[in-house]
Amino acid sequence: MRWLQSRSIKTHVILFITLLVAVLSAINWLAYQKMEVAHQQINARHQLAAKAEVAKALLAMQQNLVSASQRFVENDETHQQLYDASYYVYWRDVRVLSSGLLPATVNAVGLYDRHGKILVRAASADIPEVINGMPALWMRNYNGKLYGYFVRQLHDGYSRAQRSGYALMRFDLVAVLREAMPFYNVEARDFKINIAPNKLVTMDELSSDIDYRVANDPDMDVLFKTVVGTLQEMLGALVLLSLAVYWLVMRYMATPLANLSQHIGVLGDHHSREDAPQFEQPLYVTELENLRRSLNGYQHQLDKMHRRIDDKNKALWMMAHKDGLTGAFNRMAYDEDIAALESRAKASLISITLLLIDCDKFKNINDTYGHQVGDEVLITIVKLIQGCLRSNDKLYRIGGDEFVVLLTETDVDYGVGVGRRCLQVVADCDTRVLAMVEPLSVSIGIAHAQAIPAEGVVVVHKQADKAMYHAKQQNEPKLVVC
Amino acid sequence: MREVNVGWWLWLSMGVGLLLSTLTHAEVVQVSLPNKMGALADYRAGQADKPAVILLHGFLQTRLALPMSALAQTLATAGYTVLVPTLSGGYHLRNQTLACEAAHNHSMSMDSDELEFWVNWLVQRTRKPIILVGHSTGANVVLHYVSAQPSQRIQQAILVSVVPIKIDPGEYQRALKMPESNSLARYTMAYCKHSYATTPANYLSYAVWNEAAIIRALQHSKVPMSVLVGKRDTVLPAGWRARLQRSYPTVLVVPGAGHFFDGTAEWDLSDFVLNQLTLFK
Repeated sequence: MRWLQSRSIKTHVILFITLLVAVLSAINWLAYQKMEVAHQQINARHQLAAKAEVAKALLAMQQNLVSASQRFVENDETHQQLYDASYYVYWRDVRVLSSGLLPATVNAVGLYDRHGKILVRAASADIPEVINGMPALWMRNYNGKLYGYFVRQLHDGYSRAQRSGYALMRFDLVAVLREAMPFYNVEARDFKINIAPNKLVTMDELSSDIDYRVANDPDMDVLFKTVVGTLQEMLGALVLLSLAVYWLVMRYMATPLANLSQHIGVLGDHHSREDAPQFEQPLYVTELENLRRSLNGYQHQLDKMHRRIDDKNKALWMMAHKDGLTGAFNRMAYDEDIAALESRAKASLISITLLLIDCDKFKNINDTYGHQVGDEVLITIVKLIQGCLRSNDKLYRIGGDEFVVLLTETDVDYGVGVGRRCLQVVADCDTRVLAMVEPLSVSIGIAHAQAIPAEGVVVVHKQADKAMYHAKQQNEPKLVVC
Repeated sequence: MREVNVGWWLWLSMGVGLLLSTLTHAEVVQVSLPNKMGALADYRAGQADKPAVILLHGFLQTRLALPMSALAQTLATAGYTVLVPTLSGGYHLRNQTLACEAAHNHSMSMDSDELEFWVNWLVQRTRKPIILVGHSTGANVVLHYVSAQPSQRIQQAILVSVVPIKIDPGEYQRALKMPESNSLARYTMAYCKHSYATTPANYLSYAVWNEAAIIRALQHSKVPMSVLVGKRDTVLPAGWRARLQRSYPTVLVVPGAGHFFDGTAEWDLSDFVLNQLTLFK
């Protein structure tokens, strides 16, 4: 079950359909097996019934022969042959075998006197000349044909009290057996009788020589075929139904869910819904569509909240890292940047140039023009210095009138150039705008290190501080490089 | 539809039932003919003061055939001694009607001889006057017998539906060319159309009994003869009844009777025969 918990809906659908098909197929197979068992039991009963039917047919054949030959043995013309055989051949060929007196299956007859001796020798050698000691009914394979030989006694006189002779009838064994009775359990057309050539077989022996085929029960066969066909059709319908269910579930459930899941994932990877890929395919299922709308609403609200937090974070960061008066970065920002720089310096060599800038006579300005003008002076100096820096160069106000310009990956000459531009723009500043009479000037101490020392940037800062001190001490230029 | 008179049939059935209850049972006589062949007859002994009657059946029939079997019962009931033989037709102990296609090894003279045998048998048995009654071709046998040397006991012969045997002239001419042949051939004889299997000689023995032979035998008969024919007998050749009446004026024609005097004509036949028999007490 744990394995199932982390599978896709497609896997679940396939698993469910496979399980359903397997269960229904098993039921189908069990039904088929039961039908087969029933079929075999019915066939076994048919076998027994067929065997009994063949035995019954043999008895019926004998009875039929008696009844079919009754007119023959009672016929005056038959008895006349025993009295006068002058026209025996005419009687045999015309009156017996061609007149319908005997069934068409009888193909030869012979008459015998009361001693069992034939009256007229028969055309076929299989008709015995003497029948004394012969059974009343026997079978023989003569010249490849299966014949039965049936002997009946003839009685003379009006009362038929005295035996006057015998009549022998040779018949088509298979045909007579087929017509013996209606067969329901045996295919009478397929009777095969295995008698060795010229061997005489009695009725008792005949049953073991008969090969027969059990008749198909057409109703039962139709029933079984119908049931098996239905089972096969059900199996086919089951497979088709499974495919249809799979397609439907995949189209209307699994794929929309997967898309929804992907959409949620995409939304998670993007902070804003606006820059996320659009997901506009129809979901078909109302609940899923509602889910997507709710999700989009929540995402929209989340975006707005994120933006508000970002704005506040930015404002907070600015408040923490910028000087509120001049807009330059403050001491905290300077310390964090220096710490970050020192951290980066552990992995690679970083050159650094520090310009320490101090406004000259700032105390006098405050005292002479007031703090408000002093503040305007500081704001003006920051603006002027910012104008001399590259966009990535940072200007920090680390004290009342003390500023630092941090340059990385530059040589000292570049720093000197920046310093000179700063001196120049400040010196060129029109102080009348500030309601001042005297010009502005700054002192700049520059320190450079090809690599940040192991002791930290503070070493460079101290050097720049010393240089700035020296610059303060001299008149011109107000820039000293340590 | 024709309306059925139930009451009439009811009375008829009751009458027949009453008659059957008084039936005189026949004795089946089995004899050996002079040629060693077995023959059968029904014999009913009658009253001592009444003559005996021999009834002879028609073409290929037996003693059990109508109308002779019914007439025998009527006569026996009336007290007459009645003998109804079955002509053997060349078949030992024949008891069944012969088929046209059966091998017919018999002739008119053999039939006549058998009739003579039965006359003699009856004479020895009863010593009574004898009246012969022949039906159809059985009448021809009676004619043949009485035309020769009939027994002195023969008082009269009654011929019922006497008819010349229908033959095919071509076959007749062919048979005349080889009368001694013992081979079987197929002939037209009475109702057997080209199917009567016999030898030429045997065939000719019957075929010669044409109209002229019958009339001649009637006219030269040595015993009194009575002739009875049905007006509706379709077996008779066209014009035969008229020619017979012209040649033998005592012929009695029964209106409504067919060849076998069946139905109500059966009573006409029995009345006629009984009336004839009253003459011989």
